[in-house]
Amino acid sequence: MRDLYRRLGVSPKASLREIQKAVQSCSDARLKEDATEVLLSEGRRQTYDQVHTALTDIGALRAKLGLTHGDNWQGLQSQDFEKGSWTPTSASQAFEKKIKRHNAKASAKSLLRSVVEFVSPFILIGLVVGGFLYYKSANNASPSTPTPPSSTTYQQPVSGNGTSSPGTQSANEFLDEPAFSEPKLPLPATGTIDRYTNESGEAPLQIKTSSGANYLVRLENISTGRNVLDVFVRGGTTVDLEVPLGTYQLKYASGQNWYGTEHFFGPETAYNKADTPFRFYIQGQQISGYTVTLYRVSDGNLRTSELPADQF
Amino acid sequence: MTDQNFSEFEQLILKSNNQLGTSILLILAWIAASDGNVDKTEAKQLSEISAAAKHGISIQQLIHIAENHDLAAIHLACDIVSSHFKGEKAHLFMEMAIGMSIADGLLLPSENHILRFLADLLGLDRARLNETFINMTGREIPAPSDVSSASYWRNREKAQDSSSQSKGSDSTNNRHEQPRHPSRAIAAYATLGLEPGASKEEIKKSYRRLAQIHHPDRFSSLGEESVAAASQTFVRIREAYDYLVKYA
Repeated sequence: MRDLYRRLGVSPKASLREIQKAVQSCSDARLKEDATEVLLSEGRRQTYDQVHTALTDIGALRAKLGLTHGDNWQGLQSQDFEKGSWTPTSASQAFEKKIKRHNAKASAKSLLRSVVEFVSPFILIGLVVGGFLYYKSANNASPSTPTPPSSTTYQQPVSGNGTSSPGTQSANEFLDEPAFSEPKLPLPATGTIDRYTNESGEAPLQIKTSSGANYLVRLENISTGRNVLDVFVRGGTTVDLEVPLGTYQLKYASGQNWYGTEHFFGPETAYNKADTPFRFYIQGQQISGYTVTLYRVSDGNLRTSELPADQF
Repeated sequence: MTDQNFSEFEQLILKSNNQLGTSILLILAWIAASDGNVDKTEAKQLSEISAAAKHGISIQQLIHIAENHDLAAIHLACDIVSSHFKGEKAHLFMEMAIGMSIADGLLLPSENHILRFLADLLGLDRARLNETFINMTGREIPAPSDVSSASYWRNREKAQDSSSQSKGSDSTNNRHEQPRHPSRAIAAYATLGLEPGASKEEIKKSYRRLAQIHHPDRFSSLGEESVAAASQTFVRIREAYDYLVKYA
């Protein structure tokens, strides 16, 4: 369609009179006819204006996005709405730059920053070095087969104020992802566990999550780098498990939908690791354990950092 | 939390729990608003998709941005959407956009132009856009009417002498002026991609084909806003079918 306003040399906001004047002095017979039929009839002009506005927007957007030669744009006689081909610009890159500048200025305004930084969200962990009172049975049996704890007590997690939801996967939306077409699988139950060692569990570990994302938490032996166990924790649930004594690296994958142990939560999976090791040991009558709270909190007492998928 | 340096839409994106969802919704709102006003069906469809996107952003704000033709905002949303959907997933976004543009049973020229723009954005050529449109509606995407030509309006009036209206629509029926009932049937036929008066057999066949294509399960890997968009199309198809089985 043609831009009648531009051809007549009037503004799209021109009054009826202005258009009448322009039409009268118009020397192009066809333009004169079209303008008379279309713009001088109120109902038709209204319809025309809607399409005119849409095409004006589209013309500008096509120029900005470098789509002036799109297959679906050719041959529609819409050249009137073409804006000279400027160098296309990326709005998202400009936006990211703005965010970086902003973050450099306003240092660490917790929540804003955590949503904003596409790279390392401040996801959280409130960690409690718990009171893990486990009274070992008086007659210590053979040391090679330690008896499992008969009772354990935890302190409540101190971090507590994890009210904001994690929503971790949105952070990755800006990244180009390869097409992903694996079928979604049913979410495993909280506490579904894969152990990769024969050592029996001994020290208590409690993991709490807030709703909004599901987690696969992994413990790796810090000296060997070997995977010790994977446990699935649905959002908003708590799992208690026993882990062999030792010092571990805690990692977790999180996301909404489950695609199995190869793809975890699909392309949207967020991978993180805790920045400090977790040590499970026996001291006197007590076994030390942890309560890990996977909330996004700005003042958690343990920081985590994002992990590339291949290092999970 | 707010900052002078960020535009209204940028601030919403920063607040959003689902940036892709928020961007999709802005583009859908732009389609809905392109005919000058967001009508009830469109508003309902938008707010359902918005609820499913769980992005924590008010759809009214997005509609407001779309109505103001905030091109910088639409540009950013286009970038985000295209980086996610470009390639094999392109038709899935296209289906959402087509679903929005025919929410009221007809495709206006402004909506038609936006669909063509979005197809180019996602790298769908004319043939693939047409294919996607046929899958959704059972008919080819019409050429956008040239509402700048006097002959378009004259032909239109001739054609409408019998039925009596005027509004620039690329489809067979009209939006506001028509009495509810006849248009309901026509819209139901159009939803199933049929000409008015199609046989029961054709209705059934078309329903089965479309229901399969739009089954929400197909969209589950794309997040809940896609499922919600598909569910709505699915419901519309079923309602059209139910209506025609009863009254046609």
